[in-house]
Amino acid sequence: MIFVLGVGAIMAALTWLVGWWGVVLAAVVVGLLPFRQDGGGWRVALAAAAAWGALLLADATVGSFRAVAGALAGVLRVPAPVLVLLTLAFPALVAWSAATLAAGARQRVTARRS
Amino acid sequence: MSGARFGLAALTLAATLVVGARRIGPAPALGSFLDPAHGVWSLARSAELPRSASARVSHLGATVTVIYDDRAVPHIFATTEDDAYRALGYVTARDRLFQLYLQTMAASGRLTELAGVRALPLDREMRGLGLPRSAERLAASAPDTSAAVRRMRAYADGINAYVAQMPASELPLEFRLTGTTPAPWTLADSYHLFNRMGWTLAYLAVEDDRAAAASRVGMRAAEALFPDAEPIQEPIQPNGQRAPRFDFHPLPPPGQPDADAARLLAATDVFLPAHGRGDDGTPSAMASNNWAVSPRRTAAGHALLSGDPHLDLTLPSIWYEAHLVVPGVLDVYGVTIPGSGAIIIGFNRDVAWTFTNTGADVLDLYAEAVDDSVHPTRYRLDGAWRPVDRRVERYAGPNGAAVATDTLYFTHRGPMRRVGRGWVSMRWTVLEAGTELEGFYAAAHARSAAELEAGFARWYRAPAQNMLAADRGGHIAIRSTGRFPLRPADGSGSFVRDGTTSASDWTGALPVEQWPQAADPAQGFLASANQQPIDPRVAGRWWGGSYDPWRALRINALLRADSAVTPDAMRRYQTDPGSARADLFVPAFLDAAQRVLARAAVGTQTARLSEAAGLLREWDRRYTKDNERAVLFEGAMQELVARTWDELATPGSSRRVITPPTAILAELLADSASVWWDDRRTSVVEHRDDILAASLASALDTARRKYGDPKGGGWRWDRIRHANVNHLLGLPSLSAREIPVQGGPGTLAPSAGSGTHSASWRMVVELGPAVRAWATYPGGQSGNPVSSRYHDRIDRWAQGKLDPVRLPSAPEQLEPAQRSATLQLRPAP
Repeated sequence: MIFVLGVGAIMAALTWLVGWWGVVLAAVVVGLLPFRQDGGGWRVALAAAAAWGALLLADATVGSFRAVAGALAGVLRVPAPVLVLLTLAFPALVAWSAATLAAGARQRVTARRS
Repeated sequence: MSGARFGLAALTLAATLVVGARRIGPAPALGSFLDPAHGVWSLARSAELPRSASARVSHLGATVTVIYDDRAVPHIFATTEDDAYRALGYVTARDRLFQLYLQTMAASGRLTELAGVRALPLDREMRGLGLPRSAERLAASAPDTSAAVRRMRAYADGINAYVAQMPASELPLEFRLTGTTPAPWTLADSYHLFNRMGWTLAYLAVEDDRAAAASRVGMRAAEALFPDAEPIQEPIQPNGQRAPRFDFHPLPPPGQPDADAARLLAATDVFLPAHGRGDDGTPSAMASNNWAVSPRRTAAGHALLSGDPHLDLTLPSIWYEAHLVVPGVLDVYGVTIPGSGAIIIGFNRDVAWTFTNTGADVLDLYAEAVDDSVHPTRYRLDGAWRPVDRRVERYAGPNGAAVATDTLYFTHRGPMRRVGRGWVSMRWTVLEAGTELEGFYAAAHARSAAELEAGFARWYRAPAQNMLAADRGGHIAIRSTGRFPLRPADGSGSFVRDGTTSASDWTGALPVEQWPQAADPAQGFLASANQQPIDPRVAGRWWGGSYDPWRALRINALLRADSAVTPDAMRRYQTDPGSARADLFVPAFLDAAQRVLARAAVGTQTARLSEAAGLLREWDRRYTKDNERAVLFEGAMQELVARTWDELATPGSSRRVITPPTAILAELLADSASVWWDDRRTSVVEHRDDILAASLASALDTARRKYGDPKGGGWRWDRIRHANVNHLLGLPSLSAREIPVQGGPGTLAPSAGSGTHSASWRMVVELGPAVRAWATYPGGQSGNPVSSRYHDRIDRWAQGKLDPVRLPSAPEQLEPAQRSATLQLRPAP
């Protein structure tokens, strides 16, 4: 839980600072870290979704989130809940794949050295 | 880690990075689009203006305070005019940035950069007319010493200052959807906008209408169907009559098709391909009204003015409401067109002004002789060769690659295009304008109606407008203002002239004293509604427009009947449901039905006609929302047009090449035995009453088939006619459609066709000791679709209601409850 919250906080901060590439960056760094935890990739994905979910929540708290969702749903002809899910799924997929790849690369390098 | 998992992760990452970073088809790049900190969701944070904000603006001389009132109108308080217009640019960009961008792309013929090759025909029309070339030349030659140019540059500074410091969360939705970003605003962009307005309003080539008609029924008949002198006279310049005059004459019979007309038709089609010719004959809703009343005919004894321009209805609206105050120097309120940099229609503390389109023919065509029929380099003039100015136009797609390249040719007259095997050049006042903004800046300072008219007469060229003014001294005035070319010989501009001689060129411009105009007329009011500006018996010169009289007849009748006009009456007149057109045609239908029924044997046909006449008789001829008979009348009018003008149909088709205006149909009513009444598609010879009666009976069948039983509720006008306010990109979910409105074809608030043209700004100003004003438009101040100000005015607009406008002379005159936001613009260090 702490891992997810911590990584999520970093991803939210990086998204705020550098945009969506911040998720990729954070996921790669976490994947390269030299510790092994089962399901690490999925937990990084969860952290990314949580990070963007928190930022969405901030948008909803401060402004007209419902109006944006309605306008987007109308323009893109996609139900608003699907758009919200997509907004959570996209960073999760990016983060999972980036972290998994990074971790795999690290393991292979480590294996060669040993 | 298994190889399969590694491979799946690699594939997923590659896929998400691609869709995250690149547009795929119409879908935006998902990464930056969905990013909740800077992407589309962040628009939630910028939907409403913050209660308080500040910004630094370069070139600003001193701090400017902008207070947005409770209608989201910015009141700009500055210490210099340049700063006021700089702030106007800033607040306009803040509310309407995508509109500024899209207008410029359309006006400069660069829509392909946004929409790809499908926008190529529109871009080719703009560039082929020479509009972007003209704007670029004006900007390049704009004198820095001119106060107007200085203000235009200040306005551009304001726009660019906003764009430079705009938070990512404020990037408008449309930029995100189209994957574009705003470009810096330049002086040329404002000229592009004015040229675009000229294209919208100053293309009225009666020669095109006439040529189309002549191609079917010969030139003699065509000239009668599209006459120089309108048959119903209620001119803008009062002619001393107390009622409209009906100059009805028998129409000459249809003749043989005129082969020469085809050449003219081909030429206009080449230059103006996107301008389709209307084929249902209903009065155009692309129109405007204005009227002013002298103090002696108003209840309060103060001059009153109504501004009611009709244009395309769009979201955001073409208009943006603003108030500029520079103490002791400037205090002007009204609407600006985003990008124009000036208050276009409005008022100051002494005088109010508005305008309608004059619609004179200011576009002529010339047959040129060139040295090379495919790639001309020279054209012949007065026996000598002169070089053709060539310009290569490249149309870029969204990715920057060229989607097409054209070579355009120009003579000293203007653009030259290939028409069949020959070449035709075009001269158009819009391409030779450029000082219009000076007129609007002068208007903002005018202290009387006379001063305002003089300012416009000095500076304003195109598109010609009927400038109406009223002042606090109780004066009212109107003048059809613009550059009206003087042509050689008979002065007509209705044919293709010989381009090989300079003797064909314009010889000058009509002097101001000969423009249609009036000041403080004996009748106590002035009104224009796109009717013929001057009575041909007063001035018989070629005018060459195309005019509908119906709205002019109605507003003149209302004003003649009211000797104690109030501001509220002015407001009611703006959406008056009465129709001079229905007043003329309904009795004609009923009388014809009565005569046909009297002579016909009783049967099924007579029963239908009798029922239709009975239903039409129930109508009060008012296009109110709940009326259930206007639909029958409109159906009958459509049938009447189709059955009467069958001679104008193309062979083998029911589609007409052109439809004469309904005023000509009214003229024809006076000639019951005219050969035009005969429907050549039938085996019998019909006369007027036969056609009127058959049209009415047929309309009943059609209405019953489409809308059900006449008493079943399906015939209600508000279930059939609607206003449609489309988003600039035509996105349905961001548009406001099917809005029930009062009005129909030819009423003061016209509702016709697709419902996308109507009153774009309504304003009533009372010029008393303290100026009072009421106004609205169909939209809202914000261009942000998620803002509560996006279309908050539409409901009241549809109801014909106006909002009282706030007119503070200083910031402290706006109570806290009357403020919605404050913005401080400070000089950049």
